[in-house]
Amino acid sequence: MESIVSSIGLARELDEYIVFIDPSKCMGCRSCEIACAIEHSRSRDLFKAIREKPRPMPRIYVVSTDSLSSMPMKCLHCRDAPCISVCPSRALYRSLEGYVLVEPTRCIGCLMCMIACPFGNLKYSIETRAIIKCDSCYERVRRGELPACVEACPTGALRYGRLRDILEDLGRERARQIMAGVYTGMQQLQSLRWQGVVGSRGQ
Amino acid sequence: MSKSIGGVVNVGDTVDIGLCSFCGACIAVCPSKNLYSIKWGPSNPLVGDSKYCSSCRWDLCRIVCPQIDIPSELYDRSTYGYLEAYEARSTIPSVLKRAQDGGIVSTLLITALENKLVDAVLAVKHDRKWNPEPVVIRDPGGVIECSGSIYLYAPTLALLKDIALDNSIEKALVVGLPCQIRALEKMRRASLNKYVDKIEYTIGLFCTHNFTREELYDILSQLDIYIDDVERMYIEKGELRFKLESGVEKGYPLEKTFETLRCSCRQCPEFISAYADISVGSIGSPSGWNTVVIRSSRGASLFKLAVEQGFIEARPLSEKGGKIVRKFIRRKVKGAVKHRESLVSTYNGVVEGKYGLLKQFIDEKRDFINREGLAIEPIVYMEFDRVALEVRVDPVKCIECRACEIACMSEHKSLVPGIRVVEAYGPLPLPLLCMHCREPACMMVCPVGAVYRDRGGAIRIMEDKCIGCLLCMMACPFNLPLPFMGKAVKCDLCVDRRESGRLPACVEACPTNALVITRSKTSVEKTVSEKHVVRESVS
Repeated sequence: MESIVSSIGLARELDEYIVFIDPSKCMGCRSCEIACAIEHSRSRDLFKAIREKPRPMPRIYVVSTDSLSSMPMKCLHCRDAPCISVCPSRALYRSLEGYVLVEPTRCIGCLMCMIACPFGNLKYSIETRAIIKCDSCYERVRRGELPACVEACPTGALRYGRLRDILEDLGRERARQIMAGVYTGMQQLQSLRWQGVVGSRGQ
Repeated sequence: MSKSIGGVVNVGDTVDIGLCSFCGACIAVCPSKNLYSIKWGPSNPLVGDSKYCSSCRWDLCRIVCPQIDIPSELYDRSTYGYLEAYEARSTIPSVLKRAQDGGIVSTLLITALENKLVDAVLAVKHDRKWNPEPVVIRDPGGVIECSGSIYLYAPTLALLKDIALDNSIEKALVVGLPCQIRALEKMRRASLNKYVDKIEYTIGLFCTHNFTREELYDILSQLDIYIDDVERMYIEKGELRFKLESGVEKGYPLEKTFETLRCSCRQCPEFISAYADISVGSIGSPSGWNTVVIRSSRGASLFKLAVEQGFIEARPLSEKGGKIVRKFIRRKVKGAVKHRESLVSTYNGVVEGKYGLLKQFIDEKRDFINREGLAIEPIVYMEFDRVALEVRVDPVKCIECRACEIACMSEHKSLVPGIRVVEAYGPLPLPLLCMHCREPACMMVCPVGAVYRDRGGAIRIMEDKCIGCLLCMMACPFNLPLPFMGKAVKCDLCVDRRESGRLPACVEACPTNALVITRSKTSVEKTVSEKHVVRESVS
């Protein structure tokens, strides 16, 4: 097949690398939580990490929406992040890659960011006396590895890659499904609905 | 695959080397509206902003350009055979008074309009200063204004878009030079149906070569004439002659103009248009008469009708006249072949575009559909609860040119489109567009409530509220909201255009009619129930 020039758009944002969450594939195994906690422990080993003080905490949480569906929730590194805007001590900042990171030594524990974040993705750790949040595993990413949660996800509910490529992949998948659905009847299209996340739709 | 051949992305380079004959086709098809012409400006299209050109997969402006990728059959003299040839002149006095020779073109236009064979005619008129102005004529009275030749390039085809978007026009006639008719034929072959579907007849004019306004002014200054004083210009006995208001006549030998001829005219092989239904000129017939060359049955019926109704008196072309016409054809083809070779060797990347690739793509797609035995019909979506809009997406017609994406980006001055063409299977693309769902996922997941439904029923994103978390992008089954300048951007169904009753930019720009929106008066519920009835009755 001839390689096609990707032309989703010309914006710089499309060339950024992001963790793409696809809840329709999440089965709620919480592997990502464990992997995240280990990654952010001192020993980076499951058995040693259990006994560590302060206790390693995950930065990603699998949230169940109902008995059948769940979704991993983590910091989405908003482009216009409210947490950065409200932080009075500038402990939250944006890294070169565009990640929202926290500098624990500057955190004064006012918890304004927790109020500002519409997702509740920021947590305060009493043991370290600082905000803890997803750092998109910037150390791993800079080494060329996948973020820990993405690596641990067995179903592909978490994907890491260039936004442009991910969108192209998903778009193709969706277009195929639409075509298959339309040309053999509408049933298949119905099953594609995003019942899990949209909640009320499924019931 | 590199994006463009030799870095050429739009017609700008073609213009630079003097290969432009200013037919205006590129202006009509450019989805970003960054190609334009100005009335008193230079005789070529101007490139405003080539920011979006790298998104244009086939370089649409270069696909339709008649001077790029000239079909090879035109360099063969045997292409220019004809069905019938006549000497003819008009019998309408008002036409004869203003006509260059026999007034045949004007008379044919009047015939077509009076008999309602066409709703509109695309022609060129000129003002007192010989400034050519393309016009859409709807009534026979307007034709008289366009009588008389003007030896200048005019961007007639730029008005094709107006004709394509005007619902009151169902059939149209185009009068043009061979290069302009060639642009139409290239559009037809590249399946850019929107612009050629309505063209019922084409009338070509005999053409040895043409002038830009600058070239004409240069000639006039050499003859010491002001443009305002010229009453009539015509070609006679190898001279370009100007008749002044004072009655004085001055001539300029045509041989001299060949020296400064643009390479667009040098490489053009067509003296009579190979694709026009009827070609009209003065060469080969006595003064006051026109030579009419008919190349299609459609053209023949139009001419016959004009003769039957007494608008035209015609007699078969004399043998001598036929010889002269053939001599001119031979001479032009010969000169073009010679010049074409040197041009291709000098400007390889500019003279050849992606026309071949596009043809290959279209063939591949046809093969794919036949091979897989797919029966693909347009997909019809319904948008809106209050105003039912019927969106028809036809994957068979879509050539993945991404004109819709570019039009959207250009309309919203953004760098991400609200509509996306994705390649589903091999050469079978499908445009994904926002459905403005009844229960939109993007609206439900937005943590700050930035997504809302506006009064027209479109789902939009409030820029002030959006924090750019992109959850809407992840939640949307089509992943249509995209990040731009720290915010999510999505289709708003062209708010400004909706207010003035125009169609969304993507629909206007689609050159193949793969994306069509019609405003149906029935509400969604009614249409849906009708569909059920149809389906039940079928089963």
